[in-house]
Amino acid sequence: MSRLGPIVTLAAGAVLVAGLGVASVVSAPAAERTAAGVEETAQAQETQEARQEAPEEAQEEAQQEAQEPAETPTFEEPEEVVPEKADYAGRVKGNGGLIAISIRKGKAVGYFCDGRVETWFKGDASDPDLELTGLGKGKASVTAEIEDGKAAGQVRIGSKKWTFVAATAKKPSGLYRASAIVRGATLRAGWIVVRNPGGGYTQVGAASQDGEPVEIPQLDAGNPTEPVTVNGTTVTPEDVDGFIEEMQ
Amino acid sequence: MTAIHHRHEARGSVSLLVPFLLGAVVMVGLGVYGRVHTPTGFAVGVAGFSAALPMKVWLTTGAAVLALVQVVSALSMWGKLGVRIPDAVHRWSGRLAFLLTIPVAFHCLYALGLQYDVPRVLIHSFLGCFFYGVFTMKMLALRKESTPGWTLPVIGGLAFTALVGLWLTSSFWFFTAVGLKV
Repeated sequence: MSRLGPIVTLAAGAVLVAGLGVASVVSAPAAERTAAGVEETAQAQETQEARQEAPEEAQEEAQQEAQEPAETPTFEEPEEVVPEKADYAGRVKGNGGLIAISIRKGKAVGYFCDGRVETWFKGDASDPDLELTGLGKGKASVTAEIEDGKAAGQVRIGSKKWTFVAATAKKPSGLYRASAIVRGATLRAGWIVVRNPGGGYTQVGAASQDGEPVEIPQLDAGNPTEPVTVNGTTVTPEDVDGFIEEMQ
Repeated sequence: MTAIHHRHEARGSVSLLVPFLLGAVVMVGLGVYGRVHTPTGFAVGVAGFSAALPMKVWLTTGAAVLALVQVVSALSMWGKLGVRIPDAVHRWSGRLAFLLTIPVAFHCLYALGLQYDVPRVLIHSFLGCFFYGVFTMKMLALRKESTPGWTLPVIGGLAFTALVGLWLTSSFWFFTAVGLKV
């Protein structure tokens, strides 16, 4: 038997991992790539200081992009109105998660998810400066400014905060939610679908049954309201028009 | 004679030290990576499936079937079957099984991370890390001349058991909870 055989096998596995890694990094959009960089620095040192510094660095970069163009027009066009109906979805800088904000007739809902942590938000949308509060147990909020077809702002979860710029989302991009009562247990799932600049979609979601996280299936990106099975129960994901009433 | 035999045994076990340590490094390394790195919720995988989960479910099933081939061909190698299956069958079914698991594990660790919210996920996470540790140890042990006789059956058996456990906590769960979706 060739003495090198087993080494070649292991090496082939390593090469395959490297190939998948490169392909995944390349096909993940720019925001996620910067996120990975920041994440590494943040996690190299587990101290809390380090954890707080890194998002702030990311935030400084983001402020130049997000807030510079945002501030001036607010003063010049004070009568800017919030659209009756709008959907925004985008990436949160520095943590690999997605955020979606939707506005319907003066009410706003938001959802942040990174596949592990998820938070729903809601608030008033009478003013272009949105302030949404988290619906979960922990302290969480979203502040965002609606302007030029974008929602740009900050999401805070616990003691951490990140910035984001969410562009107008056209279906199938956007926010989806499913809920059901299964033998007395409340099953909830949320998904955000975002179109990649290079084509295709990125989606992230989370589901829980009575507050316990459960595995979440991927939505069919072409047809996200197709029924899916969450923890053994078939549910139909609803778009914002379908669930906004329930949220109020 | 006994003394010499004894010495040989001892030396044999020592020769497993490096494979064991490297296997342990792989196992712990994967686990730590899966916990420390923020899951992306997204990873490149094998085309031709409707979504990431069906892809993983079927690749894992393929690997589990090849794992059965592994056990049968290994039994033949050790003369337990009375039939001689060519060595290449064992070697290549193993390689293929290992390569089939890579896109699956990559998605698990890169997109989802190591989690332990529910028992199934906890068992799956730990078995996954354990499997690659054991597999690494087996590959490295194969190259050693003087390993004890139990080495390959035991490590191979552990790899097989881990893979079956992984299949039960992923594909079998998916088939029963979701269905036979491609």
